[in-house]
Amino acid sequence: MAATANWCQDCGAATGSPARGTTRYGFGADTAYPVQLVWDANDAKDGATSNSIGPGPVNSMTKYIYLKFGGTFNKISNVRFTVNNDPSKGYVDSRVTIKGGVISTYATPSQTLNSGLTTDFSNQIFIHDGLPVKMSTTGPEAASPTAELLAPGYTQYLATQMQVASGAPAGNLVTVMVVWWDEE
Amino acid sequence: MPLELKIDLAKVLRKYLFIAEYADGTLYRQTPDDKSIQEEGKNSFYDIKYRPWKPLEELIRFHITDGRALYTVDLRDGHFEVNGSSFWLTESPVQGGVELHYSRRHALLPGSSEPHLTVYRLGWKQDGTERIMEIL
Repeated sequence: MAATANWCQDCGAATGSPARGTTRYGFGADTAYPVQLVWDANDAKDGATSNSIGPGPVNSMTKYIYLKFGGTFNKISNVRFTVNNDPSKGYVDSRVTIKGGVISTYATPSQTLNSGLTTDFSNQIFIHDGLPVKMSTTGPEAASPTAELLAPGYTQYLATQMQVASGAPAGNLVTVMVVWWDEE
Repeated sequence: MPLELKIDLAKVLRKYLFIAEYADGTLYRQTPDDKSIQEEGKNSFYDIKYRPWKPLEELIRFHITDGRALYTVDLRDGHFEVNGSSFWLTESPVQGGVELHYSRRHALLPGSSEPHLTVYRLGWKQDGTERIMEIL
């Protein structure tokens, strides 16, 4: 017996209070989990890896990813999040940045520069120093998430946006989202 | 701009099983199905820490093993053992007993064909101090 974890994603217009996405992939009993995240101009799950944005200046849609924990466990804690670049598969042009943040506030995704995402993952941030993530049994938008999860639930939103500055060429970038957690 | 989002938990195997050792010599052995002996839908560690089947203060040693190697934390003085060889992560024995820490850290790693990694974390805590041994 063990905890299970699945990636989820919210898309579409903000709805409800606290705000969440109109379209929810993987939430609750839904199993249409996203299998990859493409920083493109579409507010959608997955996406073709051939999609690219640029040349700059341009931004991707803000992507709202989160984890759903289920299965059998006593406690999930110490959740951390980062985005790691894979040097063997590409590099980050200095004019291309991946900005992110751990937030409980959903806003309708757009390509407007998201100033609320303050962490620059273009500078390698190892998972030990990743952003701390809280959890809730109700959803990523919960108003009062906690550092420990004692029943099935969700992380906060792990929101990211690719921001491409003027002069940067169009292209692809392979990165991996990294999340870790402790299970008892 | 792709970002791979895959965790295949079917590949997550429980490499180590734990053995809890009590002062009266009683052993509690985690079984591969990892089910509580007290409550349906709970795991074995629930019986040790969350609804102790024997008082926690009687728990003196905690081991994990894959059938070949044996890793131990002794909760009476805070020393560790690997296959019976003792060592300390403190300068001297800890007074007053310590609280068991046991968890599994899961991570989705970049650039790996194996998308999921589990590190077993075994150690103790006392008054804000902790010593943890991480075992792959």
